[in-house]
Amino acid sequence: MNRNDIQGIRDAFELIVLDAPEAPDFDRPFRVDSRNPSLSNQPRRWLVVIAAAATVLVTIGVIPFLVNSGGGVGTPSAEEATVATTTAANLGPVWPPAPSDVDPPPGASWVCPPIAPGSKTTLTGNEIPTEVRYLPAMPMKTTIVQSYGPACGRTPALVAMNFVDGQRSSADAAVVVWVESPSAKLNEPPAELLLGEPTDPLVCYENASDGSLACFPGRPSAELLAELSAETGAELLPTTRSPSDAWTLVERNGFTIRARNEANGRIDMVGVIDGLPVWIEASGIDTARLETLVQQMTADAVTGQVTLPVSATGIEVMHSAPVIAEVVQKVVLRWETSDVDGEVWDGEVWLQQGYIPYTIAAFSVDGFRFTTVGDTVAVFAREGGGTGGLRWEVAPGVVAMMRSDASLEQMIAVAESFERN
Amino acid sequence: MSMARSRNHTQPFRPAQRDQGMESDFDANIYNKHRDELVRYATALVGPDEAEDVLSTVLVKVLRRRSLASLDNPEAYLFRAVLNQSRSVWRQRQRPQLVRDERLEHAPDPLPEVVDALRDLPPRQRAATYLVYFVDLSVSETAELMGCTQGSVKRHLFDARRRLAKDRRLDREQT
Repeated sequence: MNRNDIQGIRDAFELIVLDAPEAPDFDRPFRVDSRNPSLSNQPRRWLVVIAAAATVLVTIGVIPFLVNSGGGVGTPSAEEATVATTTAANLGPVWPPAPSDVDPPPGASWVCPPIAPGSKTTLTGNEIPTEVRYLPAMPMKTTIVQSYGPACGRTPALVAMNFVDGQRSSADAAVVVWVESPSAKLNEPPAELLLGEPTDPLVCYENASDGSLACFPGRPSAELLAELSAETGAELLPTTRSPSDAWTLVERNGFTIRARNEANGRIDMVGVIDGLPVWIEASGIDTARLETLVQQMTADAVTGQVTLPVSATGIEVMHSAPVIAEVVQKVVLRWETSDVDGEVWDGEVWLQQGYIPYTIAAFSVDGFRFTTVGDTVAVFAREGGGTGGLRWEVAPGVVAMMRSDASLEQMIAVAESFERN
Repeated sequence: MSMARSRNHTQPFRPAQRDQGMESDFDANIYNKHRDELVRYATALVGPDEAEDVLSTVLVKVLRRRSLASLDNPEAYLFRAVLNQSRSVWRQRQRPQLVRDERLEHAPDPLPEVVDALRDLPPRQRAATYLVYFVDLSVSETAELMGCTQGSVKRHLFDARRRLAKDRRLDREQT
């Protein structure tokens, strides 16, 4: 980028910020609706009201995501919701401490949702504080869930929600799992995960440019699709293709190599080569040649290097890597962060079914740092950032893989919270 | 030259000093110290029409969680919060209008084209571009404010340059 380019960008930003509005006052963060002027100059009061807004969101429609069981699907109406919580004992120390000023606003006709730790319940209309309906610029979506606990004298723990109202949430039909990491330090944001419900049917969209699939548990929102389209630079079109279509299984040294045809001659291959779990994207190959190719590939479990046979002419390896995430069920859901409170992550959750977990400590790859937390959660991060993640078994036979640009330490903190859950 | 850019020539984004006294007063002081930078940042990310709402939401949500005075680097915390909230807005509105039409009509060429190109950038790429190329922050300073690694900042800048170059709105991708 030359000086003219940079100057062009500067001039553009100069123009953009020229119309920057006045920053809101500290004591009056919102232009408050006249219907509720009492809230206008009491920031702390807002904390309570916002906390109460959790119940409004819950009414959008909630389907529980039971981390422990991986089950529990409901189809609540717009006026009721089902919420699952974990026990406080499972979560270790409470973080952050529940504030003292968490009583409902004076005059608020609301009832704390009758949720006992570890239980499921259904919220009804009379548990919704009507005042929150009048909030201007009401914070949306998941961040409010955290306040649900302290507002009702409960531990902010783990609340699972499934928004089914596409008008209210960009995460409709997806499951939001909020995890407060007990080990988080003050300056570290809490962990927020957006997970797919393993039992939801996948809805797939095909990238109009390269034919790749993006699949979601349930129907994704228009906003999420638009964002993905913008990032990939191609339109996502509904398709009846399934990520499990066209799998070809090739045996090699007792391991099964899974491969599937993508559009445009691309093939994804997942499996174990010479002790190294690998993921290879290739083009210029048809299924008939696949078995020969697989038998001739070599891999170095120490360096992570994957080598194709010289005879494999015409094949372009678009990507090969040690598969810290074994891609069996495709990238299922893009993970979005909607927390404003310093959330630093972005990533994806990959779900895998029927794949036997392996121990990543058995090998190392240059540029990656590995560790494990407990027996089930594997954590990795690339030195210098850019790629990292953790994997864990969310239900028997279903392994979730989270990729992120968080640091190894941050991932470990989340992994520890998972272990307790 | 904007205040945002000239500010960098002194000591950019120095962490706020802690003090003793009422917590809310500290929070107010911290916020007031950075409010202009934050609202410009929000404007660069979501445009003038949404910037105030973004900052308002951030202010309320952050205070709901904790006192700014308790943070080691409340400024970085606020910047990260603005970016995250802007991303949320971006998801809902998809393409925020960065510059009002009447401004664009009177802007010299090729500014509207560049503004369009910036508008098409995803929020984090736009944030990195703004902080590095407009505010003149270093990659490490930008990483701190964005709450990510330097590698991520470089990746966002690379992606932004590639996208801008692909749109032929800049002369070349990078040097």
